[in-house]
Amino acid sequence: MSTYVIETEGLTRTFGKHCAVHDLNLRVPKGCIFGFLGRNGAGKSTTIRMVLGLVKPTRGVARVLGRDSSALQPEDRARIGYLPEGHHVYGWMTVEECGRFQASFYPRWNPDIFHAVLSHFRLDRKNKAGNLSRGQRAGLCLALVLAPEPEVLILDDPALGLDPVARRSLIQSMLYVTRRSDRTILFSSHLLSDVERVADEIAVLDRGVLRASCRLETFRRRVRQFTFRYQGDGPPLPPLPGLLQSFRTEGELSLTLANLDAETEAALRALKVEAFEEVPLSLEDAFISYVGERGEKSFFTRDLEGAKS
Amino acid sequence: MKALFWKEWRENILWAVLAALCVAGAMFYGLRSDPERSGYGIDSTWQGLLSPQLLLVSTFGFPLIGAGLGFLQILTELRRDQWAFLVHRPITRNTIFWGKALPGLLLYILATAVPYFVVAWWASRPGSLPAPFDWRMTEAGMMDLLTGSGFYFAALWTGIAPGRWFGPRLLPLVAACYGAVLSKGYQSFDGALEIALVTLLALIPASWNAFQTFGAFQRENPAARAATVLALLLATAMLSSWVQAGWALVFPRKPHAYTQYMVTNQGELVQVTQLSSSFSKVRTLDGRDVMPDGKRTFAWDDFLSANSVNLSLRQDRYPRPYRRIDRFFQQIHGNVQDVSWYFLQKNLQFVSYDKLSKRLTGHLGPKGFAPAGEAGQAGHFAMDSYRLRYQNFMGLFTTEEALYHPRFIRNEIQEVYRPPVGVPLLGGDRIYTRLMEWDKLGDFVSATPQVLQAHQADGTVLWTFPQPENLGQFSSVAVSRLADASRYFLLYQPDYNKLDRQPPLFFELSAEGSVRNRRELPTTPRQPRRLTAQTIKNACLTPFGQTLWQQVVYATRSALTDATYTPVWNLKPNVRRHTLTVWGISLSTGILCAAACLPLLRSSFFSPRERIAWSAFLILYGLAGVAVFFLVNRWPTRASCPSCGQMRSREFKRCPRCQAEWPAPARDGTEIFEADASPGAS
Amino acid sequence: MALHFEVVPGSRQPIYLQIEAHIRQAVASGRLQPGDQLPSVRVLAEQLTVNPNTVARAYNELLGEGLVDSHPGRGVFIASRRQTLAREERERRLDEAIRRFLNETAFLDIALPEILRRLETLASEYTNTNRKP
Repeated sequence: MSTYVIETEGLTRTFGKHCAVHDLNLRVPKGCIFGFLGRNGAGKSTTIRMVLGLVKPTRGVARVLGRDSSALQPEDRARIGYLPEGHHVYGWMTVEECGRFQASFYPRWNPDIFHAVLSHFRLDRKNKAGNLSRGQRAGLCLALVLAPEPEVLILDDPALGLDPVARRSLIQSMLYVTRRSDRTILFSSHLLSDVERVADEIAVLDRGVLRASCRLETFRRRVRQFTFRYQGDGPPLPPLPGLLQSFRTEGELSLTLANLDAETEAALRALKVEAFEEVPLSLEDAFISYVGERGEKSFFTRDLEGAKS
Repeated sequence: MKALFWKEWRENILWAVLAALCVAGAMFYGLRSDPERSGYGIDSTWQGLLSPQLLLVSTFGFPLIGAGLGFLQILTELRRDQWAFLVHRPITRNTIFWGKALPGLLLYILATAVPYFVVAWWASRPGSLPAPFDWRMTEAGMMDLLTGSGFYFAALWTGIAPGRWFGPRLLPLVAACYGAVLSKGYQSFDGALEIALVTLLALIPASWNAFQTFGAFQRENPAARAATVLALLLATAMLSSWVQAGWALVFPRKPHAYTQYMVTNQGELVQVTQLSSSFSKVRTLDGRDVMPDGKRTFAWDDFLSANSVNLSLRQDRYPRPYRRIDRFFQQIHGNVQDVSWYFLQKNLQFVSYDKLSKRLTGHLGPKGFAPAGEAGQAGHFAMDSYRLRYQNFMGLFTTEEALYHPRFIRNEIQEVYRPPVGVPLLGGDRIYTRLMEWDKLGDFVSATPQVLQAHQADGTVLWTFPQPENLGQFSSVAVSRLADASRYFLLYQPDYNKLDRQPPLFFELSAEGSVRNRRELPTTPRQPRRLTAQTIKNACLTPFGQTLWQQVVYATRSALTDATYTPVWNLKPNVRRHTLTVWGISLSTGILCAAACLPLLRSSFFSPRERIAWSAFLILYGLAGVAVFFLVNRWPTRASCPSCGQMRSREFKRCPRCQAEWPAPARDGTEIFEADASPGAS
Repeated sequence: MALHFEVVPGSRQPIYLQIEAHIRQAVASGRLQPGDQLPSVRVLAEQLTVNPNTVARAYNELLGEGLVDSHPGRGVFIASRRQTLAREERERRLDEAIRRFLNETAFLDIALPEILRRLETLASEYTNTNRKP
């Protein structure tokens, strides 16, 4: 029996000529808080929908809790919680009616959790769902998805549009869910500071292709940035297999690399330059250089000044 | 399930109530009557539930409400992240579907049936409408209710189907139109009911199927798939008839020339050719063309035939379309001001309604007038109500026993002629004269199977003419008289349905009824059926399966009703040849279509059983079948193989020709996976 | 025992290192004495709103260094002061700290003797109030 709650094998989805998800092999272990990162349009939402059986893959297979996603039975769906982005609710129902409606579907419903989350977000039970603010709606949706105590929780950009207090409450709820070691969370997000707080493992999707899937500290460890200062044109660079970005101004060069091995690092340190130092990167900076535009960016101040005059 | 029902009900109840109020409002508005403006052609509220205004509300309103409710239920889920709210729930797709459809149907009934029957109940109460009422008049509305519900399921299906809004996604609505449009064209309620039920039988499982196969769900019920095929077939049939109608509008057919015999005002028998309601040619029997004197073209009243008495010689039954009011009663267009007179089929009597109080005021039967409620006192006419042709009742009223002259203004009826006992009356009517007084009876004719007689107003016989011996060969006789009453002209028209046609017979009689002239008139022989371009086109477009089905239905009906069924091999040789050729063209089209689709059929996309089924389907349904074949199957998207260049389905890992797999995404050394050995320093 | 600090995600320092640094600073400044119990992993994680694994990692690192002791069933406690680090390691860390200090003060344009004099003054104050023998 697999220890992965979510697995995909060669999962591919094309829309016309555009390949939204390409040959994805994702594995989410049990008990993990899994951050699913990528730029807008990288294919995260499509992947999540395929995993949930809402969209048919072009090729490949996705599995949740050991079952094929295209054949999820009601009892499987009772164990999977899904919070789509947008925090949709039926606006005409009151908060209480939303709870009662949702509860009627699930064999396992924990009213204590439901009310705890509601009070955490300070939601009035008699209020109509359509009158709630964005953050309150998020709280309601979170309560609705947490109360059935699902084994797998899938959150598609849950923090979108939330104020900082609501975001903090969201993170606290996520951490609360994984108190039990058999509960797993997969969430996609653009707020890397929040990802850094809660994620155990992350995966990075770039234009439909999985480029990273590892523990959070592994990712930080493997993306490194160095700065050189030199006179004139600078020394010739050794071959750099994992080069992500390079930024050259007059007399200064900064390189961001992934998977730097010992030889290349030694070669860099041996370059004849005036100064050489490693710049520590925040997770956000590392992520931006990882999925940002590749290659060299040049910025000659002399050119700009020439253009002005 | 209960929760779903409650949610759908609460979400949409207000719309349903609003729709109900609109329906009731529109119907009551359509039935408002204005006593000042009553009269022929101005106010049709006397038709009650079958009035055009009301039928307009049910014809267009019910489908709109059905489709509106369906779309309302589905499109509000559309915003929510690909229907995640709908689909990602621990319930089966079946529950999801019925959780929407059951409350939806109830809401539909609330929005349409409830107001309709409220209006019907109101119309049934005396004093609401100045006309009789029969609960069977609701059949038209009930049929619209049924076909309107088809639109509900079609909207559910359209809403949840993937794809762009225009194009094939709208076909379910077109299929619902099939049921709605055709059920109105059918005469009998049973025939219309069959069409409506077939449409529903296709649409309900097909929309259920759309819910089952939404998203990644793979299993498809074969019966539901067959229903989807049927629904799309109905849609293509409807589309093709619209296209043909549009074509006929843009390129109208050449008008038909129609030749018949008529008698001029001077008493001369001529052969007249009519082309789209104008007289193109008038020719005497010797072949001489006659020109109109004093003007450019002939007009209708240049001929005595315009005002001839047309007596039917056959005991025909006239079928009544279930949507027409004359199935129940017919309005008398008289010059009666404050009272409306009707002939009521159920009672076989005339009844009168006061226009202001809208209540029944009296009965008029063979025994005379009786006040309201005393129907028996007035007596009932002896006749089969189905034989009543639509008359304007300005002339004489014919039953099987006698001829009557009703004078509605005076609440009187006078029996003017009764043939001897045992002799059925075929027909009779007044002879037209230029200065006719509608109230006073003038000369008239009567017809029995034995004789044709002319009478004076008091009943005395002017002359008796024995009917031709082969009376059964004729369908009608037209009797006209010269303006000075010196001559009578009888023109017997043959029954055109009979295979060996009797030529028309013409008699000229003197004022006393002696025969002065008798002629058998030459007719143009029936044109042999020819294979025109039009015929071939129609044969190609008609699926062979439809022809087969029609023959089966025809044979079954004839067996059940003891009518005669003429199988194709019993037809006359040239007709048989023509029919078989047409069928052959139809079948060949089907075979060609199947052959054209052979490459697709042979691919591994289909299982052997599916291959046989689809091939048979394509042969039977021809061009329409090809369209449905492409629409129903979910064809895989294709791209060219990177290694061998041939087109291959994107859904399979290996190329069927070169066995190469799809290339994995390129790696550039920046991939970070936990399994890789961690390089170098921490 | 409540530790009052916040972590700053998105900074250049990983969260577990920040936690370690805060605990180290609390020990150094005397707010935490040997024998004081640190909050359990779960409690601290909840307080800081971070993944418990991060706190666990920080605790493990400190455990490895000998700054804290783990008593199964009872919790994590500050260890009594004993040097587990080798002399070279301690000197290396001192050099690192001095370099950081010099980086930060270099631009102040204060002469080195003045810096050293002020260092001595403040260090003795620090020792008197915080350090235990």
